[in-house]
Amino acid sequence: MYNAAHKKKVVVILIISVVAVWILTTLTPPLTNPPATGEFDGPDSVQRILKHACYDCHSNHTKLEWYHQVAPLSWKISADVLEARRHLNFSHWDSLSAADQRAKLWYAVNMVEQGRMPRRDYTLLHPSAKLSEREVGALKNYIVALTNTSKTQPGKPIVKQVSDQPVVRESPNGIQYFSDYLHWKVIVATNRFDNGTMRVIYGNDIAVKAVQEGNINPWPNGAAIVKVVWDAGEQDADGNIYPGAFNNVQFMIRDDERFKRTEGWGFARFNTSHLVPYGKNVSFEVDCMNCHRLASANGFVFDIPTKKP
Amino acid sequence: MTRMRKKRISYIFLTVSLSLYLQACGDKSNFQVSPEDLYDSKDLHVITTWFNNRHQTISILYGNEQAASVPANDIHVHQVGERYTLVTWHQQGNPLWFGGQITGHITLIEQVDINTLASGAIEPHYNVTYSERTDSISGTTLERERIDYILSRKKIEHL
Repeated sequence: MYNAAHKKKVVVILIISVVAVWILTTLTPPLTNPPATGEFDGPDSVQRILKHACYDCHSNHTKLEWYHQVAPLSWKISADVLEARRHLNFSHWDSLSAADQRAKLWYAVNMVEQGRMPRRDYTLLHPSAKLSEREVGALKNYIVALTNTSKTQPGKPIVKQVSDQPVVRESPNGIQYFSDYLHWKVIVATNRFDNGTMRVIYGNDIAVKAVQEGNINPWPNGAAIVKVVWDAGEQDADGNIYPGAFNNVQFMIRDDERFKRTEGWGFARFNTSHLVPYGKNVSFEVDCMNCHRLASANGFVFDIPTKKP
Repeated sequence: MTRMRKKRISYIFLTVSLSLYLQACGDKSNFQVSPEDLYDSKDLHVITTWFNNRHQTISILYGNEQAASVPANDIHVHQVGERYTLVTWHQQGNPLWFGGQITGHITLIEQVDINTLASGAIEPHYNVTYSERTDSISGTTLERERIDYILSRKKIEHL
């Protein structure tokens, strides 16, 4: 008697669940593949890698299985794909300048290099999307070669000329330019062959102490890091490369209350010797943060002294 | 196999799988913070910097207040009291950014002080305060070369 009633209950619940899923699935707008405007046009070998590892989310060629279209899984997949396309879409490659294409590829290669892409929840269901070391090496070789062949047109930040306007040295998030860092200690110096620049990175006393004590996850409030960036100049006979033109100066200010939405870091960048603040509005910080997530192991700071354990 | 035993095995299997998955999701940490590579410049200021891909080095030339205030394009006669410190690091790939090179461990620290001799003449004095190199920089000619090299670096375009 009990068993029969119990079974009936289970059947009713199952029917209700199926109907609910069917209704939800029917009401959910399907994820579509809009026409491509201009596809990534790299070598075939690179295209093959990108297609099997990236295109399901980062292009308009998303391949969906039937179960991907069943709610609520379809909601998650749809949201993830749309967000992925917003960050990088190989089907609208023509909408980016050559410099932006290179910057996107460098970022993508670094995501792959660090094992953050393709995402693990994706490769669990699509093991063939995992990249082999050889494939990662091929992507790295491609982006290095692409950058080397385009060195005659270095990618530089687009800067509004303001020579006849008063200079506003305040970032959209309220961080103002200051020059105190010239009296701070240098944390590291770097050079970048991805964009042909060289940098000196200063830290205030709180930041230096944090590095000395390995106290960087998270960095303490009040820590400030300033990165001064020059274009790499010509190489002399001994192979030394000195700074060329001043490019920009970048600030990272630690305040976990004020900069809550960007993991406690306030970002600012001032371009050219005019120190033109970067960013049209405060949302520029989100782009900074998205990139700095790659450095989460260092409390979101890319450049600190490290060694192999 | 009893029901309890089956349940226990399933529980262990789930726990092990979850731990392995979470471990796999962790960041690749093939590096650690290296505070000993941070040079304590005390009151010195940056004069200029350069890097060398042949030798895989990055250098920063520091100076005291007097040395750092020498203008970039000045044809300068060095004055007593100026101190120049050239720190050279090994250059290594940035573990967090493929495409970037970053200072690694310090390989050499050289110092030049502009002193006065008993005769009243001005004389630069060269000193290696740290070196991991086995081929030490010694001998008048080599020292002279290093002094000339260090003193002829131009101040960087700053702000």
